[in-house]
Amino acid sequence: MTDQQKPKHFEEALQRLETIVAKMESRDESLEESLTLFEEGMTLLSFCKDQLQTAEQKIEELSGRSPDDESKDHGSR
Amino acid sequence: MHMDQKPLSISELTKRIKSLIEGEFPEIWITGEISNFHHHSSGHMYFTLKDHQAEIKCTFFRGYNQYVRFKPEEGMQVIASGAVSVYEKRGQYQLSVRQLEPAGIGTLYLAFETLKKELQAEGLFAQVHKKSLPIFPKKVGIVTSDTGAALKDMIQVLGRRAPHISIVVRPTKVQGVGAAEDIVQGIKAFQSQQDIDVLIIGRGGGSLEDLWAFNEEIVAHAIYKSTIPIISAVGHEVDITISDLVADLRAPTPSAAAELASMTTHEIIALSEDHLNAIKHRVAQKILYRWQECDSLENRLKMRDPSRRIKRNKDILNRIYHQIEFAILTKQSSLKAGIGNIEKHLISLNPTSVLHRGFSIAKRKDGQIVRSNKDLANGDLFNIQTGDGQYEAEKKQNIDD
Repeated sequence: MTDQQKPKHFEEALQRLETIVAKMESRDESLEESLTLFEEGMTLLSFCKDQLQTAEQKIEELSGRSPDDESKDHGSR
Repeated sequence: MHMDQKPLSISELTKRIKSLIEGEFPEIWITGEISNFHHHSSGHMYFTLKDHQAEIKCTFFRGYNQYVRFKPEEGMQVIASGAVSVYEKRGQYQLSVRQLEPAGIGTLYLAFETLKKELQAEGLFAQVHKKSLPIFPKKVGIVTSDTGAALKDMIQVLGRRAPHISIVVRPTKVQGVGAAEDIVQGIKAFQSQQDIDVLIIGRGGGSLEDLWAFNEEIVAHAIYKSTIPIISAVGHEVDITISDLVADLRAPTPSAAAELASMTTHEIIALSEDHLNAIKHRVAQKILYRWQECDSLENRLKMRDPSRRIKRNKDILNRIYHQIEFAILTKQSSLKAGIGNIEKHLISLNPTSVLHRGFSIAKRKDGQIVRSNKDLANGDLFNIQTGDGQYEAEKKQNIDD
């Protein structure tokens, strides 16, 4: 069950990552299998981190875009 | 005496009584007077509830009595709710009290709770039914007593903050007989007036009985059916009535209701900024939680990093290599030692070495080794072999030891 398709959503990716980690923790799979899982896990992890960073940036941007004096509260961050 | 059936054991009988009683009274309200009240150091309360003809033992455990809103005392008339339970071991039944109220206030409180539950089930408090308030109302309707301070306060607040808002008052009774009906009429009267943007219903502070009209079911339904958004402002901040729960907005006091109906641009902007900040905060918080999840998964994943495993396997391989090497060397040296031993043994078995130590071998002419004196007859010639040579000899005779 190593369908290495690209995750579409953060939640989906996080869930898959959780499954992978649990799988790796629960039993001793072959070295090959664990390499595959690890690789997929790292890909998912960096996807998740990217998503979170993007989300954070977006919030910052939106805060900065608020009308009038709003911008000086948040724009500097 | 004649017995139709096998007698029951006490436990069997008691078990049947228990299931009968407990099945019948899982949740009841009873009223009576407290006696033998005892508040145990464990926090549990024990007492008897009685009237002039009967009594029942009651337990009021800490988990329930911590919410009791008065101090139960000897001789007090109360209403208690709970379940009747049977204590099999002693053949006793008792009331396990879950809620206790002083008798007077209790009835009102009960009515409030019952109605609240009913209306909640009917969906009267549901958020989806709440109408939003107009941002800049032009005309505000007020349903309250024309003699109370509440009306004066509201008119004052509206006049000061938003003099452009016109106010229409429908005076009603707010307490006593007929008050609820009057309030309902007041709300209904406004429904036909298209230009009323928002309605305020309410009154100033008072006792629970004074506020009671706002806990009546007909008032609740009138508020629910109103097509005009309603702000409910009954009593003080701490008083919550059914009317507050059904209304589109609850104001803690009548003055506060007037303020809510006359928000300034500045207040509205401030409010929406507050909302915006709250949303931003929530999203940021959510992201933080997600980070936490990601970080923890990262740690767990890295714990299982195959390079660790490869390193571990390498170490194992190394160890095995050394073990094999050691085993071979050991084997080799033990073989060497074995060969040495065999050599020595062989050397020690070489007959010539025995001859060098002083032994000699007698051999017959036919080459056979002489092992017994019968191998040779007297006068036979034979050879004697020593360490450094052979001699011919002749057997003369046997010698007795």
